[in-house]
Amino acid sequence: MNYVGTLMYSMLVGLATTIEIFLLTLVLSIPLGIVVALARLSKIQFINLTAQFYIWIMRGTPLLLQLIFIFFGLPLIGLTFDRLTAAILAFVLNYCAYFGEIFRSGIQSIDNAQYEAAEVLGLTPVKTFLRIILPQAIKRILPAISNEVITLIKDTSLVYVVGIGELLRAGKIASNRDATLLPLFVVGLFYLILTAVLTKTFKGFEEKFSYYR
Amino acid sequence: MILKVESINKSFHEKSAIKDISFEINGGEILSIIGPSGAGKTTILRCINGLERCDGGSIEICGLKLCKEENNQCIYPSPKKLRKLRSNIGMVFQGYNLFPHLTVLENIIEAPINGFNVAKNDAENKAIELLDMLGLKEKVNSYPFELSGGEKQRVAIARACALNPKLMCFDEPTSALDPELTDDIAKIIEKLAQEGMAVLIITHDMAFAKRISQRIIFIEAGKILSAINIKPFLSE
Repeated sequence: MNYVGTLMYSMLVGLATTIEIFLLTLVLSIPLGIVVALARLSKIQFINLTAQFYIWIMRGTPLLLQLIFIFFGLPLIGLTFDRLTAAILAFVLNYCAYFGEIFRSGIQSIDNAQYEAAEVLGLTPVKTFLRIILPQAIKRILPAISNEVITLIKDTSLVYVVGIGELLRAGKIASNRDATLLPLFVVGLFYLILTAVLTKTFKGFEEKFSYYR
Repeated sequence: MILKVESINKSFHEKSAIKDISFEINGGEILSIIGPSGAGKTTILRCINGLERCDGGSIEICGLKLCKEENNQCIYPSPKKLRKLRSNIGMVFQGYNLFPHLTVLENIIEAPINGFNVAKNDAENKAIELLDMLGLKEKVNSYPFELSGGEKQRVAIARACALNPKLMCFDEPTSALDPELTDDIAKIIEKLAQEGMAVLIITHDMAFAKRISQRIIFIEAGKILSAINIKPFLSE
C-alpha cells in the first residue's frame, strides 16, 4: 500500500494530462462534428464529396499514424506544432469524423414530416435545424456519442508517441523502473473510474432527454 | 376571395400527377376535395401550401401570388416572401406532425415567436385562448405522447391557427378518428369557417364531406371530374 502511495504523484500528473486532452478534444470535436454532418448532408456536390473524402481519410487510417504524421510529418513542409497542439489537432480531426457520422445518422433519422411541419409554419431552415431537428437527433444519438466518448478517454493514451506523459505512460515508467506490474493495475483502475463517471454522466443526459418519447 | 387556384399542373418524373386544376374558396366557405387514393388530392394540397412547386398555373392567396406562370414556367417569390405569404395558410397534416420534444404550448408558440417575432406573452395568451376554445386548456404543459389522437389533432389545429391564417387546410381530418370524434372535428371546422376562414379539406370520407362542406370537388386521375354545391353559401 505504501508503494502505491509513492506512485500517486506521477499518476495524478499523468491523469491531469489525460483529462486535459480528453476535455479539449470533446469541446472542439462535438460542435465541429455537427458541421461535418451538415457538410456530409449538403446537396452541394463539392462540399459533400470533400466531407466524404475527409471522413474516409480520418476513419481509414489509425489515429496513431495521424498523430505521427501531424507531429513528425508536417514539420517537413514547414508546419510545426508543439506536442500538445499536435495531439489535440490529431484527436479533434479524427473524432470529428466519427462524431460527424453519428450526428448524420441522428439528423437523417428524423422524419421528413418534422421538416414539413416547420416549413409550413414559416420557420427558416436554420431555426428548423436548431430548434426542431437537432434536439430530437441528440436524444437518439446519445448512446452512440457515449460509446465514442468512452473510446476517447482510452485513446488519449496514444499521445505517448509524441512524447507527452499521460496516465498510462506514468504507469509504464513506474512499472519498468520498479520491475512490477502493480502500477499498470493502478492505471487500469483509474481508467475504470473515469469510465464509470462518464457512463453515469451519460445516463444522466439520457434521463434528461427522457421527458418525451 | 381567399384562395384562387388557376389551372395548376404538377408532374413527378414526367408522370402527370395533377392537371389543369382550378377552383376558388371564399372566406367562411368550406370546400372539400374528394377522390380515390392516388387521384392527386394531396398533391393539390401540397402545391397550395408550397411544399411542392407547381409546373404551371397560378395560385393566389388573399390577393398575393404564391406562384404565377411566365413563359411556361412557374415563378415563385423569394423564400422570405414565401414564408410571409405562408403565414396566411394554416395546415393540419394527416399525421398531425407535432414536435414531440415540445409541450403543447411550446408547439403552438414556436412559429409565432421564432418565425414571426411575436412577443412571448402575446403568443402565449393567444395559444391559451385557442386551447381553451378547443377544450384543451388542461393540456397546456403536456407532451404530444401524452395525448390521444383526437387531442393531438386539436393541438395541430391550434398550432395552425396561431398565426391567424386566412385559409385552413386539412389533410384527411377524419382518417384516424372514431365516429363520435368526427362530429367534434366537424364542429371545430365549422366554427373556424364562421369566424371567416376559408377551409379546404382533402378527404375520401364522403359522409363527412357532405356533412360539412358548402361545395365538393371530385377528382380522379389528377383532373376535376365535377363540382357540386351542397349547401347554399352566402357570399361575403
